[in-house]
Amino acid sequence: MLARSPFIRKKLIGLVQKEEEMKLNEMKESMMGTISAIHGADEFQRRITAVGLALHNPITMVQNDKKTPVMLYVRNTMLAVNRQDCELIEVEVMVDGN
Amino acid sequence: MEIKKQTIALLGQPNSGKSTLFNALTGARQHVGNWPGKTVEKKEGVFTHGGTEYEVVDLPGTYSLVANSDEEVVTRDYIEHGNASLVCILADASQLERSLFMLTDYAGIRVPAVLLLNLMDVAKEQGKTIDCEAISKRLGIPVVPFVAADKAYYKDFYALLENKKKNQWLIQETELKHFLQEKMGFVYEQAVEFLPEGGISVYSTNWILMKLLEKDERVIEMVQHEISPSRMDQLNGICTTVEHGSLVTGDCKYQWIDSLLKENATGNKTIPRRSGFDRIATSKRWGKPLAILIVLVGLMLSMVVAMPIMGLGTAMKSLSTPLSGLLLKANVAPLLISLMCDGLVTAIAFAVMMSGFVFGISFVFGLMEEVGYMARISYVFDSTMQKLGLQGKAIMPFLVSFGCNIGGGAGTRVLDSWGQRMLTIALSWVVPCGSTWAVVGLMSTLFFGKGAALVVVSLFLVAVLHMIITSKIYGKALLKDSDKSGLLMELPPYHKPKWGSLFKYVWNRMIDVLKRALGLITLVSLVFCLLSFTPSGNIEGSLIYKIGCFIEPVTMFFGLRWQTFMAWASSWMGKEASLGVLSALFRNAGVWTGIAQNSAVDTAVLGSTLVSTITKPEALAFTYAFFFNMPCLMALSSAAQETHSLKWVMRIALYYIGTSLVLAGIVYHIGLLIF
Repeated sequence: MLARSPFIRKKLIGLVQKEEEMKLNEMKESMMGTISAIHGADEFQRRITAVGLALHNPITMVQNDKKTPVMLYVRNTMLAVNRQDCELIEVEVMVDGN
Repeated sequence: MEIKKQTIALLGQPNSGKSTLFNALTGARQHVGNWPGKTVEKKEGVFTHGGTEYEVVDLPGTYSLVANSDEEVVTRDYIEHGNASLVCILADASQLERSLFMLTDYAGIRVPAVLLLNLMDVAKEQGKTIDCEAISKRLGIPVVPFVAADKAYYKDFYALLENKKKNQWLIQETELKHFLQEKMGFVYEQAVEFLPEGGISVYSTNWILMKLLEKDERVIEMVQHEISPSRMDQLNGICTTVEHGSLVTGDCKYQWIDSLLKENATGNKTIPRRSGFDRIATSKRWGKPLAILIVLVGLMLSMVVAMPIMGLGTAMKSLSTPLSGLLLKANVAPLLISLMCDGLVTAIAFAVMMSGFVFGISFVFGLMEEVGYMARISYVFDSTMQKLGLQGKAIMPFLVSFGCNIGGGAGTRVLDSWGQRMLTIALSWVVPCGSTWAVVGLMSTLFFGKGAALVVVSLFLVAVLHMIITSKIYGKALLKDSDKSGLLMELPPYHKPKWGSLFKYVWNRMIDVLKRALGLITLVSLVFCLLSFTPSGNIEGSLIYKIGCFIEPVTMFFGLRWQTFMAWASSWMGKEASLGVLSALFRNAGVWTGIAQNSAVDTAVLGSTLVSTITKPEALAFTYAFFFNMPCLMALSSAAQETHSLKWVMRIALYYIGTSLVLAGIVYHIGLLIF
């Protein structure tokens, strides 16, 4: 009965959530995470940093359909990012531990 | 009284409102050129306020000040050389967390600056409050709430310009320095010891160190000139101990932004709910059909918007007859009458009609950009454009080109680099503009009846092949590795259009095209008119007839008689000119009569004349030559203006001329086998 309450459910899930590293293009819709690494050439790193995709920045995945750019929300901005480029960005995501 | 002069520069990320501010300040007193030795647009303008004349320079919109691209190099060089006494940094108040990055990248450059928080109205609508005074205290420079599209906010801006203390407005970078020291630890002090204590040129030691960590080649060169090679080696050694320097400095800059905004900005930070429309507009399945539908409606609408101006152009042509009557009575020489009435009047009418076209197209597509929908079209077409070596943002020029290639050229402005702009223009010329269809429709139905659809389909298939081959040919030459970067684009929230600035933009574009068209078309018209002038009115006496007969043995190899060849060539003036020329030449009238009277072409008469005169293979050859011909001269001029490279535009134009003739030749010889 208690588990039906959204508040309690959220708390229960919170207890079993764990951090998981994944590539940006592997994030599912509505997942939230923090950028933990950016690979690629210096120029790519500089370009991507300037638009808000920098280390430790929190991001939310908005839309991630195959073969289209990834749509995400970072620093109050909706961004569209090329899929291949997303493979160079690693994210620490809180996922359900079950 | 002597007028004082000052120079101010506008600096900001794309979409920060720089251009709106620039246009509002300078109005018509602006000049567009290019930066010396670069293919980057330079926008300068002048305005006077309080007895001082201000020269305003709109620096290229870039996300940072790292010397990655020509745009960034130009921006940095301009600031470094101290050309501006004040730099106005614009940031989007509705996205401060991200858009303040430019300011943090500027911190350490000792050229006076102010921060304008543009789009303050949008930020307020979103429920955000920003304590500008508190931020100003921390930064040491004025921070002004601003709305570039609203004149009411300009009072504060002008007050800044009049302030006597403005040369003291230098950004305090101490906080940023602390963040970097914290990240680098003792290595920071070690590195700083190798750098000149007071920095170099307008750059502080901290700024230089950050750029060294970011591996900015121009800064590395600058430091090499200042310190000995052995010290440079040691400094390099220290910098390489910091792994991924640009990520470290980026982290520091965002930390500083967060600390600046933590207590001084409040508001909703959750993701705004996406509307149902946005979900469809960006959907993998429905995004493209919706975009095509909206663009088709947009193209039709643009014709409606253009109608009054185009009508004016058509009406101007009718002035030719009464004018020639008047001149005849005044005993003016026939050649002069022909030049005046046929040449000049037609040229002006043509220029007015073209500017009407551009007005309609710029209005509709400008509106789509303004409300935020254009970015969604770029998003859904990204994978398609990648096949041509381009990115999603290049879709707009292609779509606009279905209406008008002149507008297509201007649409490339949103692209990231010169190489991408040039390649997009080179490929978008394959797209047939609205005027192409009058001729293609007539020729294909007249000669091929039910097979007309097949001809049109074959044209589109060859067009796709043309694009693929052209992208292979020019892609290598035009795109450097740095130009091949994938899509990275803001998807702005949908918002109501700012009609005032939209109309200003559309009006400026139209006037610009009108001015250039008047010059270019008048010149071409007069030459054409002279070549086709005959005192008797019979074409056989004209120069163009003699030239035509002389070259016909060669043009027939491509399946073009001299008449169809001239009609093909006349489409350089404007595709709509060809129909008139065809009509005139096949009834032995002058070429120019055809161009001047193109609106009055009787297609039924022309049709029967054509069918009885030329063969099916010739008709097919002409249709292909016409369809794949280079676009009109105004489209070339617009492309040269956007890319600042006449050399490349001419090169690609010649390629199109050659390709269209080769294709015509191929289909002609295939046609000879079939028909």
